Amino acid sequence: MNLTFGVMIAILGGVIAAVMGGVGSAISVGTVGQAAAGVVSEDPSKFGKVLILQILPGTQGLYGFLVAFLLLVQIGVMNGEVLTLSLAQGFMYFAACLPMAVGGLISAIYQGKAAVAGVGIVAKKPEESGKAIIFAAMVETYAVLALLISILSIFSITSIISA
Amino acid sequence: MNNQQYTYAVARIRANETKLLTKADYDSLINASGKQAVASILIDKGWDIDLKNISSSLENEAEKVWDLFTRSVPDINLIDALIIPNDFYNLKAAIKATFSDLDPSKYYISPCTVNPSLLTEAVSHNNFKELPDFIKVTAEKAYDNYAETSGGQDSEIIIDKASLETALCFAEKSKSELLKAIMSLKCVQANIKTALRCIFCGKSKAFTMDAFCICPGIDNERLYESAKDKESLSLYLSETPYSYLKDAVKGGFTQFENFCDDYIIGLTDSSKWLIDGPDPVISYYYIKMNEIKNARVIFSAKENGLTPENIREKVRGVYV
Repeated sequence: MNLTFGVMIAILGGVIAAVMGGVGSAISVGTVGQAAAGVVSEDPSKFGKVLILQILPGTQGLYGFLVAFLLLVQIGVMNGEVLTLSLAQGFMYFAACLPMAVGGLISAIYQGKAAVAGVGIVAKKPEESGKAIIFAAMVETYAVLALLISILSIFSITSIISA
Repeated sequence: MNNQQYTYAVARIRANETKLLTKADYDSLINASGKQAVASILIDKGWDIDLKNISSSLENEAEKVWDLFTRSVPDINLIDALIIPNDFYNLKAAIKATFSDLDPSKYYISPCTVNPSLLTEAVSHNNFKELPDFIKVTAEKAYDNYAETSGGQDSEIIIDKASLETALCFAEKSKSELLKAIMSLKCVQANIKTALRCIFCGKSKAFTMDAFCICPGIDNERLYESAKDKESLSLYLSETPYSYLKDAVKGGFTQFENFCDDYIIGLTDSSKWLIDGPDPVISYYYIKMNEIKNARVIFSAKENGLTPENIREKVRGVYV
């Protein structure tokens, strides 16, 4: 096992990506859940429509987990063959995780707000629920972009280190 | 106040807003053939109307709104300002009924924060220790005044003034700008009406000044002096935060009251798209109270055979 300080920094990056994405999603799914419960308590037939809106901001937590998992695979933590990473290499992995960590947290919170507003649309005009979902889904773009840049960075860094 | 705590309440209110009366509903109500037809339309919108006891049915509608709030708002005490005036109304009823040997329970209104039986008990035994602090002193003062003067006018002034000041104080505690704006308007509206009425009836300046409530942004001395002439009053109001009232005071009393009611409904428009915070809750309360008031007007108009045109003039702002 080559548990260098660089490896520790890299793992810390993965942890931050998973935690911040998860925290953002937990806050937002909880908030949308409150709004959804309010609507369902008045009209239980709207459960299906508000459930979709509640699920939407949960993806950032999943993306954070994915980034952390890929990082652990790439540095060999998952198969027990941990790479020997210098401090600079560790920080490169750490930096690669930051887009998902920060982008995930912020996009989850704002997607939650858009989804709560969407719940209001479903409450008043259930026939417009598609539009409510689109408004909330638009925020997802930035979470996906953050996920892509984090994944591409992790793979690129691994290629650089292996070369 | 944490706005996020209101997410659940606001969502419930949005769901309930689908049951609010629309312009088309009001048209149907106004053009309805009679009380029975009005009741049918309201029942279709989810109201519980008993034609044998319309007043009580409408009061139940107000209670239903407050019940919704108590089950969904995180801290109901923060929006108590909405129903504090009902407590003072009940106090007035308790004092008057007790001195007239009548049963006050018939005159109580709800929702209210003070249990009416507590008020009955306190007034009938002239012991106000059990009443909440915000009403205790006023109750003692109004009771003593009624006993000394054997007349209700001064006692009523004491209660009305305290009602407005307490509601404003509660609104300030709520940290809701909307509630503060509404309560401030109610205070200035009451002071303007008092000034105009007292001057018209030839009441002394001391009496009028005593009847004024404390109103933010208004110098009551200047208000009294300017109220002797509507142009001066309009000019004075244009210098205050209530400049939007400057044209409304030039007309008659009814026109002024209608303007204030419509202005409050206009203020609630800003909460239409909010997703959290107390303002949508406060707006919903005023909109429902406005609906109940309109329903009462329509029932009364139908009973007295008023034409749809006459009813339309009396029906106030529509939210949806």
